[in-house]
Amino acid sequence: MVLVLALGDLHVPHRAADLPPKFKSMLVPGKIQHIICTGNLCIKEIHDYLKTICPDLHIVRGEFDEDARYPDTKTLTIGQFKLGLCHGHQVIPWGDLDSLAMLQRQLDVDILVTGHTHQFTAYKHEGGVVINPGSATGACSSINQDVNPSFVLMDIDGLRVVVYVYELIDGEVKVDKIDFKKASTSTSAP
Amino acid sequence: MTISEEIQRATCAYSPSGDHRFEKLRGVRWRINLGILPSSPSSTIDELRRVTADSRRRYAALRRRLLIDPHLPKKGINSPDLTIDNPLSQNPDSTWGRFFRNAELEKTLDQDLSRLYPEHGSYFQSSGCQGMLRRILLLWCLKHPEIGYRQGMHELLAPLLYVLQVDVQYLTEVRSNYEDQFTDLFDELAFQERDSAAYDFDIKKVLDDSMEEEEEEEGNENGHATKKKKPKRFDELDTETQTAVLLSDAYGAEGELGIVLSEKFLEHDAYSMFDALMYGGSSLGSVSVANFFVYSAPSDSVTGLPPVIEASSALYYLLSLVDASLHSHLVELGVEPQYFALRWLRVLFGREFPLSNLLTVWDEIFSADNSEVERVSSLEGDDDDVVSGFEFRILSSPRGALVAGMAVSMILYLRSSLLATENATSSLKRLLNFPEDIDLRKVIEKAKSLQSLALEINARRDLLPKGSRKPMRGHSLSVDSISLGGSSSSPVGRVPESYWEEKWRVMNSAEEEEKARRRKASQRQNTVKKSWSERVKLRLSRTESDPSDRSGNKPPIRRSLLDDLSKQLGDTDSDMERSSTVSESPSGECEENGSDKGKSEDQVELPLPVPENESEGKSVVNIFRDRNILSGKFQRLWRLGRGLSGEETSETKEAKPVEPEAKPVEPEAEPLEPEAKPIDHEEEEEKTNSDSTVGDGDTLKNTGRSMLEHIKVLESVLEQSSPENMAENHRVTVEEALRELRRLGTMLLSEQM
Repeated sequence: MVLVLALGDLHVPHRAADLPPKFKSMLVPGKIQHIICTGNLCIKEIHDYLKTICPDLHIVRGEFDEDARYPDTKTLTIGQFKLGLCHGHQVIPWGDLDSLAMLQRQLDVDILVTGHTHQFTAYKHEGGVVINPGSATGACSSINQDVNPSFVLMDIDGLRVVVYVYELIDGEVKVDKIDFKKASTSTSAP
Repeated sequence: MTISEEIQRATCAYSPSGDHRFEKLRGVRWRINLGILPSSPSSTIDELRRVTADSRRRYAALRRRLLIDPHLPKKGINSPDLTIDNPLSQNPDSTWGRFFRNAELEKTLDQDLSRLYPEHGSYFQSSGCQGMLRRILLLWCLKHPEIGYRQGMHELLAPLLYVLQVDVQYLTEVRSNYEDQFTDLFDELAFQERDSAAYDFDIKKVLDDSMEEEEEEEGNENGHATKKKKPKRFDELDTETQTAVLLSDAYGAEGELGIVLSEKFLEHDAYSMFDALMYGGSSLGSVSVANFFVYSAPSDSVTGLPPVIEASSALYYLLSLVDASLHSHLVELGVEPQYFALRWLRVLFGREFPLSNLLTVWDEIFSADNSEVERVSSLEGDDDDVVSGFEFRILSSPRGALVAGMAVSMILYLRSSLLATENATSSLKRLLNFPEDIDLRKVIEKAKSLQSLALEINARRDLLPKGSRKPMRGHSLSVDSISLGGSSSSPVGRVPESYWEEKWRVMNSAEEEEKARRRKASQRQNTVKKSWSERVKLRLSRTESDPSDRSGNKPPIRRSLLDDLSKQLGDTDSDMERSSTVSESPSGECEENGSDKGKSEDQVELPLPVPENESEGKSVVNIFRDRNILSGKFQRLWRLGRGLSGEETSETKEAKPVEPEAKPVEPEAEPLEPEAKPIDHEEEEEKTNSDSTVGDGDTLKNTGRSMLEHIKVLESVLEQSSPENMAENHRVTVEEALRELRRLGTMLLSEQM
């Protein structure tokens, strides 16, 4: 039972000051095993803060990130699932499912996590899942001014993943849950 | 020690006086002793099975309830409220919250379990065993959140599981010997082909078949240890094997759940044994090991100590009754009993003996009854504050008494090496590393003899340690031991006291004796005073080591006191002033004293009685006592006195250099000497007079009178003390002071008149 936190597009300090306090109170160290971040933090302080929540942190580069050493894409394996990570400003049109599916096939992953649109989406597509955790701070994007802060927590358990979505709507945290089951694979995880 | 050897040991173990059916089955015996299975020898196998099945059902229900898989939806809730039930929820009720808390607890457990019995690691470190232990401990701690998990509980649980495992192995052995007894004949028929119709089976044929197989096997293996005989009938088997068969009959009462020795239900049985061990019994007085893990004292305890400390002090008390020299030696070294007894009691000696010995020890302990012993009513009249509980809770049941006896006999076993130790560390080292190869029989025999003694302690109150009856002296036990240790060893370390207190104490030691005598006459003084005087007494006893020459000490002390008093008053203008103030201060004090007499009853008590040689001590004592209380009054009087002395300064100038006056003082003083004693009496009377006349408000007159008396006393004592103690000039100063006093006093008197 592995808990994986997926978030991104915080845009601190340019477009937002910090995570909403209700989110911060929920993100307690010790519960989460991995964090995957779609990028655009933008500064080192947020990187350090995320490190305190969980030491296993994976980040990819967003276009406003001040640290140039983050990679453009990343893949990792957690349990039976292969996860892919990319910021998404490289994939045009932004947020388009087919283009993202192309990236998913390219990376050969079961779960693709991208950001950039600041809008939460989750699609089941061709035996895999494409997730966009949105913006954790509710920073405005170039296409959308009114953004609800949101992030995603994945509970990976064997061949089943439960995706919990946390959104801050009107000052209240709303939680939603989506179940995905993967068809059993022939190759076993290392 | 492998399990098969363990079985051998179990057979030659001491079996309780009750059931002989279960001689080879330690697990069953223990379960009976712990109260899980019915203990009367007449209980049938069926009853045993039923009780076993019930306890197992309870455990399974508990397990289902408390071990949570948050993925599984809660029954009855179709759509769980996600704001509560998400993994990051802070809500403590959420399943995820409980899941995380359980995970934390499991982590703690694992830390301990991974280090459990590494010498028998082949069994205890196997994942199956560890998993069982973990689950049992987790469920127990969840069920008893008031105690939670404490280190040591896993060591209590491990042998319990072990004996159950041993039983099961024994069963498989028996089963291998008497295979046919265990299986129902007809079970096998289902899989055998029959030519004829189902009704027409042939038992004899089945038997013959199985027999043939056996004989074939036997013929092949020559070195086979156990010979397979012809299948016996059930009645021909010995009792133990019969029992084993019956206990594991799958068709007996409660079916498979009732198989008393079952590998499938090891966890359940171990849990119930553990629970019974921790919560010793239903009656309040019995010993429950769980109490040893509690840090605070239970509400009905007499001494107000945590149970472990209380039990450790019980051990020491028992030891002191049996072997006082060893006890005092240990106390002297500062070895508090709970340093080693904590581990002994919490794990029931699990860490002191190797596993095989431990099982023998636990055999003994469990066979002792755990119910509360009836107390013999005390013959003497009870005090008002009679306590209803036991002094030592651990000794309130035979099992507890045996535990205590066991501990003490272990200490006694190490007697020679303990007496040789020089400091606390080495003796603790000895105690905590109990030797491996010991004559266990002897230790247990000794423990049993001590058990009966221990049981008597609680029954007869006159064996109780003194001062322990009054509940308010909750810690008297530890205080006693401290004082015991304190008196025999060198003084612990002087409590830094103020200068005045020291002086007062030195001079007032006689006063204390008086007080102690009077205390016995009048019991009811308020506790504050009592404790204060106790404290003083303790202090006294501690510092009594240097016998001081009281009479010699006093005058110089007194003189220096007067000097210091003057310094305290902050008057350091000139020598004239100094002498006047010196004369002032005692006069002032004496005035205080006199006027004070009627005010506080306590002080009246003290100077009144039997006059002693140290009457001068009294006066100075009074000086100090009053000083604290009526400084304001003193100020007023002092100012008055100063006013008076202002006139006198001229006279003092004249008086000072006149030395020859010293001589006439001396012969004057001598006739005073024999009068010293009568003066004392006079003084008393005068004082009482002054008491009676205080009410008139004519305080100054009285003060003057009493001043004169005091002066007389001072003079007499001055002459009494050996002259060589004082330097010449000092003497003169004092005499002058006295003269001043006299003059003042007469003046005051004359004024009033």
